[in-house]
Amino acid sequence: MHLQLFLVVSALWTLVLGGLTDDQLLNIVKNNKNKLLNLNDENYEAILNGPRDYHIVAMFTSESSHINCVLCREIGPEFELVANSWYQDHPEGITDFDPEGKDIAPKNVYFFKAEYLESKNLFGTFQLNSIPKIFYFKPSDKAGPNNYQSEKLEYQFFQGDHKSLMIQWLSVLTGHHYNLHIPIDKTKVITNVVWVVSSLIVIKKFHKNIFAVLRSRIPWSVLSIIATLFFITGYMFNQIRGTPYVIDHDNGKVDYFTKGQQNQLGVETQIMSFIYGALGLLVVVLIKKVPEIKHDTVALILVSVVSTLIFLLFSLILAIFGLKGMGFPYKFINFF
Amino acid sequence: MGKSQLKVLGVPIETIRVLLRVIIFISIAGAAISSRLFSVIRFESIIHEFDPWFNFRATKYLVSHSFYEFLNWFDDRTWYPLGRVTGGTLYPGLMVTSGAIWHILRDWFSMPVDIRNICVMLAPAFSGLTAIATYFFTKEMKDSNAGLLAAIFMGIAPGYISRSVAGSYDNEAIAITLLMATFYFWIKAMKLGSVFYATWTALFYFYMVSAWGGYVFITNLIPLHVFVLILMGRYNKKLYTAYTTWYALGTLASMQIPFVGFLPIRSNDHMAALGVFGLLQLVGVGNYVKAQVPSRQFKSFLVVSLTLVFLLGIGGLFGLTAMGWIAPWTGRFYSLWDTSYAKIHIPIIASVSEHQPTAWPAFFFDTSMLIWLFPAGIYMCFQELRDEHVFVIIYGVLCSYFAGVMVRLMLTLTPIVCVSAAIALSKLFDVYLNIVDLFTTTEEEKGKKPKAFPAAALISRVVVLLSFAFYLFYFVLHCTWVTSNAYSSPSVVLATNNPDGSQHIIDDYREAYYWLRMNTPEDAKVMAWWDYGYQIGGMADRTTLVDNNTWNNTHIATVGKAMASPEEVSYKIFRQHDVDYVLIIFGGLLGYSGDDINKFLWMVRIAEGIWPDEIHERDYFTERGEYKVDKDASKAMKESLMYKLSYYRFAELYGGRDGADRVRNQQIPANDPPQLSTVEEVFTSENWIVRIYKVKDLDNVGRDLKQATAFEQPGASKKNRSIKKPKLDIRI
Repeated sequence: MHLQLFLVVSALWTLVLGGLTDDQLLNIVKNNKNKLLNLNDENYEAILNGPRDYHIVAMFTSESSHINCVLCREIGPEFELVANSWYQDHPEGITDFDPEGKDIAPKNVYFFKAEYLESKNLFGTFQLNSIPKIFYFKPSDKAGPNNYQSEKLEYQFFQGDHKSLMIQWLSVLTGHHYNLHIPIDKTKVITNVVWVVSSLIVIKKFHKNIFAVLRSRIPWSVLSIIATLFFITGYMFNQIRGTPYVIDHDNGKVDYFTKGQQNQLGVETQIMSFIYGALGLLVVVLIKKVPEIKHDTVALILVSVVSTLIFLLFSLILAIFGLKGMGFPYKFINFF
Repeated sequence: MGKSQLKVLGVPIETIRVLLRVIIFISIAGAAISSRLFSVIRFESIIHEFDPWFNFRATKYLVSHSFYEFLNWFDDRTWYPLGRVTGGTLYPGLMVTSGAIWHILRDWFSMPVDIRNICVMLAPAFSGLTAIATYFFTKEMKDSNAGLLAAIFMGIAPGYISRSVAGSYDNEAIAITLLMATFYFWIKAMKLGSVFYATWTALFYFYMVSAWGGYVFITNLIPLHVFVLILMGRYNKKLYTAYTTWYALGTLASMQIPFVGFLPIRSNDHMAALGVFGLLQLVGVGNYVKAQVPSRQFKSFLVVSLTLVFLLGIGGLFGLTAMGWIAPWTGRFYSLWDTSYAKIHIPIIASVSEHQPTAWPAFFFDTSMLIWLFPAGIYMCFQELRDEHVFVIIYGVLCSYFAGVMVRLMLTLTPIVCVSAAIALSKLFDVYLNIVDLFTTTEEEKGKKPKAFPAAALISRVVVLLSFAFYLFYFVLHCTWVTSNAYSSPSVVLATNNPDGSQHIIDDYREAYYWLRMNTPEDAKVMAWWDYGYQIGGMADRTTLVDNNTWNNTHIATVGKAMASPEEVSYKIFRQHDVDYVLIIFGGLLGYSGDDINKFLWMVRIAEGIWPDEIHERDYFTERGEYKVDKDASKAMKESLMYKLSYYRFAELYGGRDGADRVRNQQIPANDPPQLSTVEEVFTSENWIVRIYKVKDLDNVGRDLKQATAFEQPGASKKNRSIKKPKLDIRI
């Protein structure tokens, strides 16, 4: 809140004078809990317009589920880590402004993050086709609007560990040395401790029941079969690739399946594991339940129902598999 | 009726059963082999892909030299000028197997078969044996009915065919057979507590170790099985006998393989087996003490000893690892458990397509209906849950995880999918196939009024049987289609269809390699990217700088640097490494996407890893970060040797217009053709896939090669000699 107010005030201020001064920004950063400052439609002119006496690094991204940008989610925390590490090393900004013996005159660095949903105008002026983008704006004397458009430098997403790549890129541009301070996740430690302690207490108290469950074969079989079902329907693929759940199109159409043998969506795992599970269950019914029925006619009805279901589900698998588009020629029923 | 009276046409029913079983086996082996022959029939008896070419070359060396020469083989025709200690860095099982077959056929049966044909047909032949091993394995789980089903599934399941078509002469070809045989003998040994069978397990384990690096799977699965059995309170002396025999013999035997050596006692991959071995001793002692002392004292004994052992074990493991006595787990092992490990730490593993995670269509593609019978089979195992069923469950769950993480491990999942599906299906047939018992009457029912015709029961059985017979029929169709379409391309020879539907064979690789073999001196050194090292060695028989063994990263980076640098820098590397010819793969004319320009970034990256101040990946991208080869291509890209070699004279094909690269869909500018001064084109194959350049020798007069080329070029000196028309005044 504090930041917003401050920025609005300074935005008015800059209408007259251009960009914020180094001290103003440093103040904002010091008073702000999140060291990665927000860049949005309300403040971007105040911040990006020159002249400026400091370096700006801004990430244009979107973490909303509407956009579903996988790379953004991957890059976001790494960028934040770089920013936080910088402020941890320089809580008061840099103190040594002496340009002696350095290629680039030392100046402060400020990190910004722009979320697409809050700053559509900003993204519009930059005419971005894809996100995430990370731009660097060098210190500049030029006053006036939109100078930043020509001053920006783009970070290239190459293969590798982006934390260190970003640091390399930044140290070339700003002349500073960057360290990485990877914070210990306190909440994680605490939850782990709580979890271990509470489970120890539970074990202590109910150890007889727990051993009974552990010795029973039902939980183990349920666990194994569900795990198997998930694994053979691409659960690990979703985990590793971070595939989207479904694909939403602008016109409201929703895609549940994608093409390609080595490609899938999150929902496909659920659909397929359900079908496989149902088929397996039906086979088990045929093997285990039907022979127990004494009455022949009832058994016949059950067998016909189960067989029909198996046939339908299997046809469904083939139809879905045909959707994946590999020129697969076999099909029992035309579902799609 | 007694059993002895059961006779058909005067032959005892058991004899007929055995006869039928043998006939079924022969048919299964026939089906398994014939479905792997697509590529031999379509093309010819030829070795596929890349690695098999090395195995083939090693086999040829084995049959032309003695076994000990083979084990001590130092190969000076690869990794020039370093050479490779080949005998000590390969799994010899595959070559020794085909070598033995070759000798047996020649010496005992007087059949002079070409070693190439043995290599090509080895994988199909072993697939027949795999089916038989699967039969015995499954028979231990249920009965011979399930065994036969599992055998036929194993014979034609595409998941296994993918690595065992004729010509795919790779370690996996025999490894899966050995895997199943080892598991069968293990189950047998564990059931009977037999030293005999445990020894067989160890023998087959040894064979497996000699044949494939994936033996680590067995090394960990059997201890896990024992460990789970101990946890379930199913420890007994049979288990102790079987495991200790297998572990002691198997470990000692596996250490005889030069490439494995002392790994079994030093690498963490093998520590689980050692740990369970120790645990079994403790459990054995514990059981003995329990029988001797009162239970109260035993309890305190148990608590104290367990804590001690646990602390000592963990401490020892960490201590030894820290002191470097035990090798830490390999990168591939980490990448199985921590799925983002490879992405961050080892890009070379992450880049290989075999190491990608598996999406669900791949599972269905490779096993069809078996994949949904698989969970039902696991459930059936839980119903009985004998010791051997625990093995199937562990194998099934663990391997479906592995196969999900790494597409290559589909191969190890396929056997257990076949086994479980066979168990489920055979239970189903047990219930529904026996139509006879509908009409027989039991003892109590005798004398009562005759039963009505059991129409309803009969119909329900027929419905189930017919529908599953239909599914099985479909399964065969599926497998044949998949094998024929997806897994039967030798990749050395490419096939396309002409517009009229007839087949067109693209044989550029062999054309080029044959040219090398016939037109270059025998000791010529050929530089190419490592992917083609084995093929050049195998087909062209020329010395290479790097190959698919990739044991020396710096050497690969040197080749990468030569390809990524301007000509003058590359020429120095050529001279330093005595390179005579440079071979590249170019798919731009044909639209063949697996070419060197597409792999070029890897060359740059690997070179950058060794020479970070000379090669920069960013330089090869345009300003906007795009990978371009057209007129927007970056300066470093256009000056790189790889670019020049690929597009040299390319635009000339298009008669003055821009050349069209059909892989990258970009236009190659005609007005700025790449100029070469240090190498000259000597061969380009029919479809331009392979291009070979000869490295020029130093100039006779001591100029640098650029000047020399510029001098020799027609038109270069014309300017000076242009004759001016004499100025003549008009005479009046």
